[in-house]
Amino acid sequence: MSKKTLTLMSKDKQLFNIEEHLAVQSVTIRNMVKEDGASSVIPLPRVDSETLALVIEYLNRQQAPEEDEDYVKKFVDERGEIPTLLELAQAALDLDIKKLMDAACMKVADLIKDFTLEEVREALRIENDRTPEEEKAIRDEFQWAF
Amino acid sequence: MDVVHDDTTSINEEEKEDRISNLPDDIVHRILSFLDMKHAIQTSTLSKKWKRVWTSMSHLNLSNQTFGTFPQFSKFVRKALSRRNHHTEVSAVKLSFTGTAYNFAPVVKRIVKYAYVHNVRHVTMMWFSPGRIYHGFPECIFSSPTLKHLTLAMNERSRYPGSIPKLAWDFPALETLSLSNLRLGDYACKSVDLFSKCVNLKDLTLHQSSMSCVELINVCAPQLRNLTITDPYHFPKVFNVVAPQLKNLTASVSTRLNFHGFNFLQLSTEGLNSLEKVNLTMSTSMYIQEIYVPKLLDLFQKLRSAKFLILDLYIIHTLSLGLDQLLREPCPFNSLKCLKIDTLKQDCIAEVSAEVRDYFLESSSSAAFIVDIP
Repeated sequence: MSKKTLTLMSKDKQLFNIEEHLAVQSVTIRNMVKEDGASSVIPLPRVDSETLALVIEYLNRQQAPEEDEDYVKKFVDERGEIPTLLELAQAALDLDIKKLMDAACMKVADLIKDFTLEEVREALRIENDRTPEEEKAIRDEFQWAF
Repeated sequence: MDVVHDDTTSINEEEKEDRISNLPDDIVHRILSFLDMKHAIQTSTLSKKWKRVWTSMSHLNLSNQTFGTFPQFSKFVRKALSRRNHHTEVSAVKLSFTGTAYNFAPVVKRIVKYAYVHNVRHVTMMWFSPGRIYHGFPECIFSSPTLKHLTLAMNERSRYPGSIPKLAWDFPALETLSLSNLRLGDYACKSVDLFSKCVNLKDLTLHQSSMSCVELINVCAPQLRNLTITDPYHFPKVFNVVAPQLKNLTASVSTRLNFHGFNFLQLSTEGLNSLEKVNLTMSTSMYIQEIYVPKLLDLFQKLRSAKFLILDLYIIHTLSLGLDQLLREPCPFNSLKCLKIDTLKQDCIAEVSAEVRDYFLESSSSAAFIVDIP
C-alpha cells in the first residue's frame, strides 16, 4: 500500500506535503480526512509558513513512544522565543495537537514565571490600561498574593 | 478552525503582534495552568481584562515555599479559593507543602473540601515534613466519588515514612494511584486491604513503601493493569495480588539494607493469567546467595504466564549459583516471547551464564534474547 500524502497550505500560500498517517495526529486534519477524504490542498489561513514548517517537523518526528515526551520537550526548548512559542501554541490549538500545545504553553509558563509584571506585559503584548491610582488599588486588593 | 481561503500573502508583523495580544482563552488558561497559583493570581494586575482570568483556572498549583510564614500561606489559600469562580470545575490540584503535620492538616482539609465539591479528577500532594514523629495524611483525602488520579508523596528517603488511613479507601472512580515513601500498615494493623473499594484502579505504584510489621498486604483490584513496586523499605510477610487483568508487573524482589533490616518479596496470587510483561530487579548484590534461588523460583512459578521477561544481572547471578535447584524442574515460563537482561545500573560486565539463559529459553525456543549492555 502506497502512503497517501496530504498538502497543507499556510496563510502566506506556501505548500507543505506530509504523509497522511502523520498528519492525522492533528485531530482537525483527521476529522477533515474522515469527512471528505481531503484530497486537495488543506488551507490553514491562520498559520504562517514559518510556524507551519515547525508543526510539520514535529508531526514528522520518528520517536519511540517512551522517548516521545523528552523529544517534545526538547523540540519546544530549542524554540525558546516567546512569540514563536505562542504562534506554535495557537497553530497546535487550531490543528488540535494537544501534546504540542501543552508543551509550548508549559515552556511559555516556564519562561514568564520569573518575569516582573512589566516583563510579562511585554512578552504577552498586554497594554496596561490602568491609571497609577487604579494600579495601586488593584495591588492593594490582591496584596495577599504578593 | 475556520477553513476559508485567505488572500493575505505576506506576514504582517503588526498582525502577528495583534494575534499575541488577543491570545485565545484556551491558551491563556493552559499557560496559567502551569504556573504556581500565586503567580497566576498576580496576573490580575496586568490589565483590566486580566483581573478575572485566573478565577476560572481549572488547575490549582499550590506551594507554601514562596510564602514567608504559614499564616500567610493559609490566608492565601482561603482568599484564593473563596474568590475563585465557583462555577468552574477544578480539574487538578497540586499541593507542595513544607511543614509540620499540625499545619499541613488544616490546609489540606480546606483544599480537599473545596476540590472534591468541584469534582476534581487529579490530586497530587507532596509533603516535606521536618518532623520526626507523626506524618499522617488527613483522612478527608481518602474518599471522593470523582477522583481519578491520586499521587501522595513524602520526602524522598526520609527515615520516617508518612502514614495513611488503614481502612479501605473510598475511591470508586480512581484509576491511577501512586504512593511514595508511605507506610502501609503498622504494628496495630497487620492485615492491610486499602484498595478493595477502588474498583476501577488500573495503575498502582508503590515507591519506597514501608510495610514493616505487616503480615499481609492485599491488592485486590479487578481492573488493575499495571502494578509497580519499586525500592521498598520493607516487605510484608505476604504480598497478595488478586488482579485477573494485570498486564505489567514491575517489582523490586528485595529491599535494600536499611534500619529495618532486609527481606524478600513473598508474592501470593490467584493466577495472574493476563500477564504480558514482568520486570524484576534485585538492585543489590547482597542477595546473590544460593539461599535466595528457591524464592526466585517461587516467584517465577506465580508469574509464569508472562510473555516479556526482564531480569537484572543480580538475579541472573543468583540463579547461576543454584543451577542444580534450577534444573530440577522445567522453566515455568512457557510462553516467553522475549527475555531481556537489564545491566543498566550494574557496573559489572554483562556475563550471562549459558545454563541460566538456556533454562529460560528451553520451553520457548523462538523467544528473543536481549542483553542490554550499557
